[in-house]
Amino acid sequence: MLVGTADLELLGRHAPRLPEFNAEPLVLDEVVCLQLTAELPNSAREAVLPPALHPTVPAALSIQVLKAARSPWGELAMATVRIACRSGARARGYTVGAVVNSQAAEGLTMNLGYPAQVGEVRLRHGYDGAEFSVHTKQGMIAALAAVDPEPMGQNDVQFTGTLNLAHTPLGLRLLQVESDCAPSQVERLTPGMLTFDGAGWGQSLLVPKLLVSCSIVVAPQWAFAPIRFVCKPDELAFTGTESVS
Amino acid sequence: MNHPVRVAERAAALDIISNGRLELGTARSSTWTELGGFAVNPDDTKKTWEEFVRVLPRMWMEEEFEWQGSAFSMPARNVLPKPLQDPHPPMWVTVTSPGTELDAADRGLGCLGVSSAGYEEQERRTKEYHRRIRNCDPVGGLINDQVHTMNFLYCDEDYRKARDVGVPMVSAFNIANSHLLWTREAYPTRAYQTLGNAGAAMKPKKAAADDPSVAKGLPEGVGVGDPEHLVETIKRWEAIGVTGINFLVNAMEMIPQQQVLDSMRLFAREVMPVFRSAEELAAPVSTPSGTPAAASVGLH
Repeated sequence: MLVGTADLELLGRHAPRLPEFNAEPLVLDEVVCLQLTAELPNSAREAVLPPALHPTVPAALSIQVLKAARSPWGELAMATVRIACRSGARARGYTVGAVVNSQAAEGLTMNLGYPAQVGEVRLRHGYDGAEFSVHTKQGMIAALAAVDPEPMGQNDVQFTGTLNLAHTPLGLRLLQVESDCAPSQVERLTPGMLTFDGAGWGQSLLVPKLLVSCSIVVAPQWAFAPIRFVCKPDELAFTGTESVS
Repeated sequence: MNHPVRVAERAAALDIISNGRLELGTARSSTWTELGGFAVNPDDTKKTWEEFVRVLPRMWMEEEFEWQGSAFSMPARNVLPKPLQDPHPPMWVTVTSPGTELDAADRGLGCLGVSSAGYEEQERRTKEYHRRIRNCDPVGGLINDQVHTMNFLYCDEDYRKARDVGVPMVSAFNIANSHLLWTREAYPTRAYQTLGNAGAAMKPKKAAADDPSVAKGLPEGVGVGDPEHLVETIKRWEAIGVTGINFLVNAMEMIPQQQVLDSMRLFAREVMPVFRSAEELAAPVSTPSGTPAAASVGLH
């Protein structure tokens, strides 16, 4: 059985701190979210995941770039890199890095445990396609243009739950972040050349090998539910899951 | 992934060397692990399956077969060898996505369940399958109106011991299965509306308080337990219209081989005779050499 082999002590050193579990949902308005999926080499499969999680075959990452006109912290643009994984038998994405373009970085860290650094996230969505770029103090760490938008049904795109590693009142835990939206528009696009600097996201092993798909979702609202479950990062989900609601 | 002529040839050869015992299962795959590996467009898998499943019987039955299709074309050829069974081996389709059982019924194909469902859901699917297949447009020269389901098997005289060995085996299978990258997870498409998780559809049962499998981590209908429990479980599947069960007898080598064999022997001795007719019980049994990888039981 494949399980993550990442050094938890090392991961814990860089994990953000969550002072308490927020009981309120976080609601974003007028949201556009681009999701890109790419296969990874097997060398990055187990090495980037904590021992509680199982990798997928093939290894894959998803980049989600989300822009909201309104959030509790004003206008918001964020980009996250997640590794496709399994918590128990459930499909999840483990967050390796996140870049947020405003003071929302602190809010997303304190409420949902995103390992957010402040940077510049740009996302353009038009009739001809979409493009995004992510800049931090290290320079451009991701960019992509996708073309040929193809309308899809509201249920044709899948967003898996996110797991963020953070120091919580219970100790170092994987936070299960669940979000929900009712899309008004869904498109599948053809991704072009991806610029991606794994080191800029904190993990140089991440080298996207094959771009699988790209999609855009437009939604009037996007809600992050309060954290309900956390998992011990060194124990499989069947025994290591704790309820916090 | 496989050219239909090659499938027709290989299946016919297998039918001949197995003395006419082949049953052919068809499937379109539900994982990016497979579809991505063969660079298959997920949008097209239903369409190509439809085309292939209709040409295979013709390749077996016609001396001169030619085809102009959307997935493939070929000039007139006699596809050889022809299968031993007349008109051809029974055909099945694996059912993971809800609704594929109706595709099976409409085409006169057997319904080969690979996604484990509870009694209630399976009964609903089976009833609808049997209703629809009465008016089917068969793809070939025969109608296969059987419904098989996938299950796990571990049998021990002591229910608790069976559970202690069987439950980890079921969990190991589900986790290993979940390592696959689901098509829907990797690629937005209308063609796959569910994550194809074999374990996800099974649900904890609501059963009588004296049922020993209650609250022991076993979903309803799983073939793990003592012989009495297994007989009861299989009879329940039979009562809702399931005609056969394909058992996984081990997963990830969780169970030592000797225990697997002991489980199968006990099952054969105590459970299988309950589901056999007097004629079958009187008939001599041939035992093939080698170690079987899986067991199945046909319900009569």
